[in-house]
Amino acid sequence: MIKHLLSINQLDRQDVVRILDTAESFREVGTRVIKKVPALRGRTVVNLFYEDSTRTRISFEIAAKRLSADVINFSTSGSSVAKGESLKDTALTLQAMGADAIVIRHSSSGAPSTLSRWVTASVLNAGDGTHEHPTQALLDLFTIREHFPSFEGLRVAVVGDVRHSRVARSLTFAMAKMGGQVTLVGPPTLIPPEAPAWGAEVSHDLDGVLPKADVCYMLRVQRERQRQQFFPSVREYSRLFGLSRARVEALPETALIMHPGPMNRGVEIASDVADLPRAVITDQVTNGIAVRMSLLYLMLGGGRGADESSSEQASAAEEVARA
Amino acid sequence: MPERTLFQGARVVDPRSGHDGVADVLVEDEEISAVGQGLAGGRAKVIDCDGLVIAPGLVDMHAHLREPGFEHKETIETGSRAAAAGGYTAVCAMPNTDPVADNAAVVAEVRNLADKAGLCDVLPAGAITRGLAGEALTDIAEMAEAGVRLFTDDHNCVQSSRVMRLALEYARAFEVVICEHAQDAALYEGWQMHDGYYSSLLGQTGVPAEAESVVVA
Repeated sequence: MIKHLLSINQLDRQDVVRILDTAESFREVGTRVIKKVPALRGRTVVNLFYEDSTRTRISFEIAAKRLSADVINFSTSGSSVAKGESLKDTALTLQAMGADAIVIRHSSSGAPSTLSRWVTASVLNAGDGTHEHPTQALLDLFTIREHFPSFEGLRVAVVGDVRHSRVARSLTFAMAKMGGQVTLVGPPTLIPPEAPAWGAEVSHDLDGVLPKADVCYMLRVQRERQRQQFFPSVREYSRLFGLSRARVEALPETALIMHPGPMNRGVEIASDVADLPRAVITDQVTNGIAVRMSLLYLMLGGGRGADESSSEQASAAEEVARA
Repeated sequence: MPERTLFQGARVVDPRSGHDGVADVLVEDEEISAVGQGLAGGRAKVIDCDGLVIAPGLVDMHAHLREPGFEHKETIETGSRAAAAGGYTAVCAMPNTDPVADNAAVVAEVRNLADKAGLCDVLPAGAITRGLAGEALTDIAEMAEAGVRLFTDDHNCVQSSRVMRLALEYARAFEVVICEHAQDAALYEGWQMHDGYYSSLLGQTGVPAEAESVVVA
């Protein structure tokens, strides 16, 4: 298994299947009364968050704790970062304290990659600027896999602010890798002109895309990352690209509605749509824990070694999960 | 008896004659008297130039000598020394100093300091607009009289097409060149790399080619 998880593009198809299979074993742990296995006992996982986060930070924390690792939460306020400490010095300090894994979220694209060159700990990208959010893509694949037998030929519409979305990048790269067909939908100002080279189709007409979508993935309008006005008004955006109740009717009956959160209810997704049974948004959150457990377990070598086949890894994880 | 120096076995590059090859160069009384193969030096002082290049003095059109105002970065003396060491016999000093080289007095001071250093020609460039602010034209005539031949606002690309047009028109009365550092500020905002496939892949803010072409259009 890979040492660091910085981008989805580091993984091949087999890696993705192995991560999802292993997550399957860990999914059950979360349903127990005592939600804990001893797989990473004595290992230290640091959550290094330079940007606000609710679900990702807590999800990583719960994942590490359910594996019995020691978890340190480090946020930039109330730490030496507030005193002007550089990323490098902070990283070396955490290294000196014996961190085995560093989970980092940063507003600068590429920060996790840079960090990985300074430390011997495994680095997990928990979202970097407008670059990638690989664990989100993996939990999305896991959630999609619960409803569809195969990714091959699966049609995924990713709707909204693709330009600023690390979620869109990672999901598009991941789906392309697994044989799915991604269509990126949004106003031309929010979709990079180079997006077709990512292996995706591009459309500016949501209503034309919906009837053919197996998954409708709504992105948050990220007003905090937009340095300019990329669309004239929220009202106009919502009218053209918001998932309204009427638009849901245009989706095939089996289609899933997904959203990485946090949602702007009433902007990119209507409030009642977000609460439909086919909107699997809370499942995404639940599955995020299992996928992150799987990643921490595989990357920190909680199994019997990195060279084992995926089925052995999965059964090793099952064994741990049974313990 | 003239003072003779023989530079032996240098790669001699001369764009004017198209020469580029190993040769000897004989200098008598500070003038090149012969270039050729196997020149006899006589009593000349011989300098082995194996692996070295002899070429006309290089000219750096865009140097930051930082003086006056930013002596902690560079001075005219240290910049001239670096230039001479690199084969540059003339450097054009950018005007983004403090005070800005937007008047004849600053230009004169730069020349004065360059003469004191005495290591290479320093050609001060003058600012197009006062304080590099992109609004009001400088006293171009006065600076031209003080010997300035190149006017530029350097990295403060003149953003107003009206001001730039005015500068180009006004400067026609003098033997000077107006030089624009072509960067449209609005398209450059927050840039990290060239705009394109890789910037889209890496999530970095790209600057499009048009940021340059709209300025020179």
